[in-house]
Amino acid sequence: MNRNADLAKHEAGTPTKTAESKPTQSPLVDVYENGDELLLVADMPGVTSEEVGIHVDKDTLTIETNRKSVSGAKVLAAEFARHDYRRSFTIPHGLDIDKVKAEFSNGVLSLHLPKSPAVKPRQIQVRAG
Amino acid sequence: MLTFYNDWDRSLAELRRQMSQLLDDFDADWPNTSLFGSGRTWPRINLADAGDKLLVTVEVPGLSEKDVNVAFEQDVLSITGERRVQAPEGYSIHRQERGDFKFARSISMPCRVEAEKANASVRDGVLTIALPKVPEAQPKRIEVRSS
Repeated sequence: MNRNADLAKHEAGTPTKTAESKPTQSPLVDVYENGDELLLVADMPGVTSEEVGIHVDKDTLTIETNRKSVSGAKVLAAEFARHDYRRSFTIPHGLDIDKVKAEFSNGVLSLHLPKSPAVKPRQIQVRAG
Repeated sequence: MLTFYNDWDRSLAELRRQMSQLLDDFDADWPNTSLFGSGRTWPRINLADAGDKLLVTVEVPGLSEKDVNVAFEQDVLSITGERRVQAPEGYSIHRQERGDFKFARSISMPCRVEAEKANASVRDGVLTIALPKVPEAQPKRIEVRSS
């Protein structure tokens, strides 16, 4: 009898997107690190900066795009499609997520993930006693 | 013992099937409609017909207009260039999937084009080359009249 109550319940695993699904592809990624930050670089040709979304949920970082579809010319030969990009990463502890900076140029996304002060390498002065 | 060998054969066949499935899945990420057979080519090229012109789009992430050369000779369009990926100064590398490429690709045009009126531009990592068709190659509408 409590069926109605379940109607609006959103269970884990329920698909959230039912609209037309476009093909998705994982972008190729480089990950670098120095004392201050992790740097993630991703190739995403054809995407504009407004179409890129970066989400952090607990310890998962997701990069995804939502590209506008265009009415194109008649395709004669195709090696790539107008796909969306999507890729998720597990991020380590000790990153300052509020200070993440993203740049996008020439179809390449650079994501700077600064480390929180607690995990930055520290120099300990050794003094003669 | 005969059954033993049969089973062995069968499990090998199953293994082979799974392997080829695995390889197929791996290849499925890449369109197999390459202009030059299958395989990983870089950069990837699309060719489209926009009525009065041909449109060639090329995925060149990280490259700007000065990094690519476009040439046209006898109905063949050539695109050459080089991409270098370097770890930024002072950073260690955790993962490097983006590669260095030195590339030269050429495609022949399906119809005659006016190469001197062509224009090419790079935007958001995509090189677009528009090649106007010669007047004779442009689509024409033929009037159908009742007699």
